[in-house]
Amino acid sequence: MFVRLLWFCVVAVILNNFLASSKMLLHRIRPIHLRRMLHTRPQNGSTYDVVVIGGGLVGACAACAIASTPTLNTSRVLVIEPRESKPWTTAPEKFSNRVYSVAPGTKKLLEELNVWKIVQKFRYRPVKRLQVWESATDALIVFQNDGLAKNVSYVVEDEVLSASLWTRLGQLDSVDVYHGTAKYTIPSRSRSRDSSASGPADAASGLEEETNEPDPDDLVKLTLSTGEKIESRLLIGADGFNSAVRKAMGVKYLSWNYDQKGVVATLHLSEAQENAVGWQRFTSTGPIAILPLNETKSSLVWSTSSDEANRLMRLSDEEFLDAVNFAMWDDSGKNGAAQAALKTLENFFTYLRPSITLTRQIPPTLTGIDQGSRAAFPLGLGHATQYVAPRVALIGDSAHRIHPLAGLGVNLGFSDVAVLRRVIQEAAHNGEDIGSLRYLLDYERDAQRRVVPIMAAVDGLNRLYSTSWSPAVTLRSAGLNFVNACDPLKRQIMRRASL
Amino acid sequence: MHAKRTVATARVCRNVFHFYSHNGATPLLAFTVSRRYISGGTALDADVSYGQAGARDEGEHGFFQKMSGQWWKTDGNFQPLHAMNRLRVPLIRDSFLAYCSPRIDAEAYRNNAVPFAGTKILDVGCGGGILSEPLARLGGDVTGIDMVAENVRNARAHWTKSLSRRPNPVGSVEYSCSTLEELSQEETSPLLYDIVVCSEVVEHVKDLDGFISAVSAVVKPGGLVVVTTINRTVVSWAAAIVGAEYAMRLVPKGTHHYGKFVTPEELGSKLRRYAFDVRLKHGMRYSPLSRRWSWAMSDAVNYAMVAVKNVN
Repeated sequence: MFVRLLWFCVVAVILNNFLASSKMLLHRIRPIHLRRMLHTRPQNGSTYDVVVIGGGLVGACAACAIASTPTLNTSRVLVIEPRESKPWTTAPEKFSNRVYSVAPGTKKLLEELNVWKIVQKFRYRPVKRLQVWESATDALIVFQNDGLAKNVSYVVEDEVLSASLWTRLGQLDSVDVYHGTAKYTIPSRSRSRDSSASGPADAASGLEEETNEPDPDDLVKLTLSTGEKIESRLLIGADGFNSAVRKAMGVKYLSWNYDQKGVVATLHLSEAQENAVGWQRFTSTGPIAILPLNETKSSLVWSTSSDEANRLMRLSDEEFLDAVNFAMWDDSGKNGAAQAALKTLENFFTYLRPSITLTRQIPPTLTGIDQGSRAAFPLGLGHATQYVAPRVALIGDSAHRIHPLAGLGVNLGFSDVAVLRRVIQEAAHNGEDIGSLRYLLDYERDAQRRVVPIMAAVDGLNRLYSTSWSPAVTLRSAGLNFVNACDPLKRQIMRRASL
Repeated sequence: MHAKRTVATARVCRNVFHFYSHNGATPLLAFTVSRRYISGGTALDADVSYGQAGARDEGEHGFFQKMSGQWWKTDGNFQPLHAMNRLRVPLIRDSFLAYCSPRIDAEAYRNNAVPFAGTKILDVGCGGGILSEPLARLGGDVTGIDMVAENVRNARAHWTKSLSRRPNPVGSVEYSCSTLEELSQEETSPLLYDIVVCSEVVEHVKDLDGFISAVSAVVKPGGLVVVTTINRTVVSWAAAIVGAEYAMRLVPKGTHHYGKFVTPEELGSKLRRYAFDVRLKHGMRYSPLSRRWSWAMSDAVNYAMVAVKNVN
């Protein structure tokens, strides 16, 4: 099961608290269309179709998606986001140290929403080939599309993606933006759960009883921090993995921390090159990945134990670069037994299909680092057992948080947006209330069918590659080589991970 | 011969409807139970509405007065009726666009937020307005009639509330407490409506002939009538009467009369007699576990029929 999800590109996850340096703040620009400034304060007593809590990538994308879908584009959307920012005209010279690997499915959504055009205007880097290998054996897997004709993914900086989405939001008349916070209460879903579980006898007896449940037709009521009271037919929680909306829903949230941290940095290559390859190596302390930014720079994401990450943060730039190069090149950690077993298997594959040659490319040597680009953030896993309540839906990190090793976190968030848009569009097309739980449950079902297997696979991979136990090492290496040799399987993985 | 035609029709219907039924369709469960007998539905108001003049059953009327607060509890006793909207609203919408509108291209269709704009729709036996409201949200000017005054009051109150919260302009809804026969006698009514919807009503009509003639009197030439009802078969008897009334005790015994169920053939011939051209017939199925409706190959229990009134 897990093998079909071996898609290794890497991402840096956003964290609020890691932008400490003032230099970073200078470049931390979240643009808003100036026109918006005129009516950012919603009027007291107004009713919205959709209120999005959190204007991060996924929240902004949801607002764009709803506001630019036909049948829904008469809807009024409000985005509530505390952080205010200035508009961008061009991308700043300095690269953002947090980057995403945007999967083809996500790119397609962004194209439909006219956001990708803006990303292109700013900056992105296509990845034509992904090479994944490990430190304990020579096992290797390479992902590429039709002889490099199609890209495997696109590296886009966090700030570029955010700026593009907000630029697009500013162009949409039906979207209002409120910079502040809001209070709200969310109706519980427990009643509907109970009644769906109850037998027909209960349903019949419910006929006689008059319950004091809140009317399911009541809208979500919000009080903004400036005092205005507004109502909404649908509340979308896109407020990150510490989601206040999720807490207000009172749903069960399964989570654990990995005792790992992601270390990110912008690195300089030793010489200018095409730089269209993403690199990922599983080492005994965790996966290290290098993604291209331009001809001379790449972005690093190194997921490692918290202690090791803290040590890496304390190193000088030169020592840090040595550590990165060592992690990419070090051959001393080879597992003899596993290596021998693998060699036999490799010969077997070559015998079966002589055309398979493990075309191992050499990763670039890193010789410099952008000042102040080094940062670390903790990694964790989290999953809400329910994504929806009457008139409420959770999307993105508020519903599910995964390990960044496959670079799928933000892509899963965008795929939530695509599913949710389809569901509420269907509701609107059928004349139904867009906050109707009957339709939202479809979103929950479809989104969870996507998220849960990927989540399990990514968590499993992280565990599988944390061990140095010989049988496990042998098996995982054999699995990796097998998948690499088996094109249909590999295509399937790429398709699934494209979201 | 007949069986063949049924299969062919069903196949056509599947093609017509597959694009919106894919989602709601959960054809896993073999046993089907009429939603009416789970919900206690509009059966009795229909009886009250279309029975012989003055034959109102005060006991049943009282039962429905008690029920009428339940209409908009979407997980309550009327859940199957709410769930049925996922089939019948698209059925009405798509039939109207297919049979009564100039041809439109697929994209315009998908993008049309108000396909019923400027369309007059009559919802016979509207109950709490579960079907009237979505039709109005799609732009229709809906008239809902029901015999139970409590239902009409409830429906009106709900729409007023719903309208006040609604940010975007929609069609209109008016409710009145009357029967179709009474309505058809009013001066303004003849040939007034583009669409007449009789959802889960005709199986309680004592005088089907008179009812269909009243429908015919109020539909415009070229207009549409959409009927959903229960077949008269051994299966529907088992599911609707034995299953729902006796085994599961979802509704009081004696609520339903097997003899009043209507077969598609009878309904079709009545419609044809009153100048309708039957365009479509399809089975429907409710799954009590997934609590969803889906289109079904078999019309042995529930089915939908769509007919267009001849122009001449």
